[in-house]
Amino acid sequence: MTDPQLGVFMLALFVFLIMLGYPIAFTLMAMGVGFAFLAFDGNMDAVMSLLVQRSWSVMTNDVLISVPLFVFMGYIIERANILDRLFRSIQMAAGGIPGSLAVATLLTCTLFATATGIVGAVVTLMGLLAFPAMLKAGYDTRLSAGVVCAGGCLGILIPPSIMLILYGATTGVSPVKLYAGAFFPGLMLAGLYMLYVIILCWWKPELAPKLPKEERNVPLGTIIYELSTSFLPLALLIVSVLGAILKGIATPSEAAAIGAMGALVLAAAYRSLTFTKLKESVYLTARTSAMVGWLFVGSFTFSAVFALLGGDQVIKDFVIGLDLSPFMFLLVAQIIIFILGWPLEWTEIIVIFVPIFLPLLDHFGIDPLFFGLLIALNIQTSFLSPPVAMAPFYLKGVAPKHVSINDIFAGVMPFILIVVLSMVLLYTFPAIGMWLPEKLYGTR
Amino acid sequence: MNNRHLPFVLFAGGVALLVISIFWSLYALGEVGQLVGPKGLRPNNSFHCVMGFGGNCDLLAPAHAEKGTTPYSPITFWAGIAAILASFWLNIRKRVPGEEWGTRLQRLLIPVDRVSTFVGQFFAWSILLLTFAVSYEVFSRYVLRRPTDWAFDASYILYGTLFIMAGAYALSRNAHVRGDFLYRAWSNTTQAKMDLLLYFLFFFPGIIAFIYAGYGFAAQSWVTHEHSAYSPDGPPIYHYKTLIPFTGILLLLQGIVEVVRCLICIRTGEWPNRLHDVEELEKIILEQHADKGNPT
Repeated sequence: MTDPQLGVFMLALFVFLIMLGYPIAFTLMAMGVGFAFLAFDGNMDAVMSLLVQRSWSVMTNDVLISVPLFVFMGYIIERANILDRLFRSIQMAAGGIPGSLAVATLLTCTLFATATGIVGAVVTLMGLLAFPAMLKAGYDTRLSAGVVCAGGCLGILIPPSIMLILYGATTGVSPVKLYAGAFFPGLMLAGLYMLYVIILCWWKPELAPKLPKEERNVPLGTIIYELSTSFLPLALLIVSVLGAILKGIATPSEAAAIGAMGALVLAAAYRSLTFTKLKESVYLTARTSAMVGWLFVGSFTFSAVFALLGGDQVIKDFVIGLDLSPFMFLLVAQIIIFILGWPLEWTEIIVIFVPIFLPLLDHFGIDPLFFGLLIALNIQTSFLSPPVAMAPFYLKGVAPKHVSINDIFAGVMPFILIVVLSMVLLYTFPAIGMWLPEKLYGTR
Repeated sequence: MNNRHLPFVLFAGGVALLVISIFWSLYALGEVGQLVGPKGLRPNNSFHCVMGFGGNCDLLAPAHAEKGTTPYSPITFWAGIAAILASFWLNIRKRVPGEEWGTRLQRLLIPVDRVSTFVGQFFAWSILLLTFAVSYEVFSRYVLRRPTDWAFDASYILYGTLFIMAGAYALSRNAHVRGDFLYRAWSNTTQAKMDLLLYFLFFFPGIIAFIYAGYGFAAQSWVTHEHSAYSPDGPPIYHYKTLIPFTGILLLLQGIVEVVRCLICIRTGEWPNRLHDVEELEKIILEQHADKGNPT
């Protein structure tokens, strides 16, 4: 076998091996070492040096520094007992609009998920809090389920999000530009979700009966007080972190550190910063960071060997040989990622599969930043679509018995369509994503 | 000393000795590396000198004599290995009447899990230092108008320490991400058989290469007394690089007990319990809910 053929074989073998369920970081590392041995014709010194150099480049990666910091910030906020106050105050403020509870749920999810970036926790917590409240108010089960699941996943799209950091670390696109780029598409998706809910509930009021009058007419003073003690601090924290990054005052890792600091202060202000909670957050941060960091150690090694063998060139030649138009290429790439999202989680897609598409973007004249924004939207579906849909299964775990998983999937379906719609919108009007980075940092 | 704790103390002491032998041998090599390098003992294939055999390692003793420094003694390494083996043996040998095969083997796991957890959780606190250090840098730059010259080096060292030292901890909690959409559907025994095979096929070769390469990489750095290149007067980074073989050894030991876990599972059909620890919020909620929902 020639080297490039070996490279393609390596990739194919990996796609098979990933299904065996072994921790991916170590699968990648071992395959990297094994194939590097073949690539260097058995020169062990070169193999060793490649392995350790790639590990070292993860250990000194200045983009990835922000990952543990954002994760830490998320765990602190998650444990700060803020969610029920947040939901209650937003629900009061939403008052009489059609489907007010569902809209309040979406808004709460969006804000909370953006601050924590932890999908599972948001869906389960809202599944315990908002879901029963909606069912009790007589809301349609499917609608309620869809709202909780879709809202809970927005956090990984709306900056500051860890996913965009990982995309930046994998592709070399500046995370700052990614944040600027994802800002409006993220808001657009959240806005479309809310618009859909409002229109649906206005059109079919029986899906979302209005709350009793006494619950709707809350004095304005109470609303303002409640909002300013729950919604405002959290929104301020997010805005200041994001603002500092976008304005260029701080690097993403610096802003993440400030965010973690702010989260500690916020938790202290809510009197929920006990030593136990701090300890739990610290330990969970270490575990999550280890998972991400070691995945990068594996994938940096693997992709270096893959490139060394020339496997990426074969794939490039093959795709170029297909003579696709840029639009067709983009479509096929997004469909592949959409399908990968069924069995795989987003970390694996971003860290392992995105690099394969990367060398092709230049040929088709696609900005890696724009490609990243499409992927960020696309990945939303991987949380929602069956068979391996994290969000619906988490919701099923906490939902009352009579709610079936099929109801939840049916409820999520319109939201998946909205994600696809927003991708179409972004493709048709690239300015939705590209305007802000160009405005702030000029053209590339 | 309480006899019950002896295997754990032996194991922890053994790991400590291994870590000391790595740091000590690297330190000693750093002292004389410039002398022995030209004679044929290159830092990046000096790992066998930790164990004390191989031709070129003989160059070390005269070089130390010439420079007047203390040579490293491989006894540390072998004492560490002996302590670890003794701890395993003590744990296996002990018989409690009526005890099942699985529970007896399970005793093997506990010291290793505890050491991995301790190291991971100890270094986990660097996230707090990282938060404070980077926040202070921002504060210093904008409020005091005096940016620090240490914050960048500190930040990547703290971040790297955090994730690399938690590798074995994460492994002991099964926290490394798996592509598990098929795996989840298999029976416990099938899962264990597949894991067992892949520990030998993937994990051990990969980690052994990682330790060996990491040691040589760190040795290179000790010999040149490398300092960070990111800032003027950068701090020394050879200690940081030494964490690579350090965590490699922890991962190797953790891998060995994960193999034992697979064996227990193949034999009994149930995955043995892991140490109790903090869990993700969603997992706690889901478990509480499952308990409430299906009273069994």
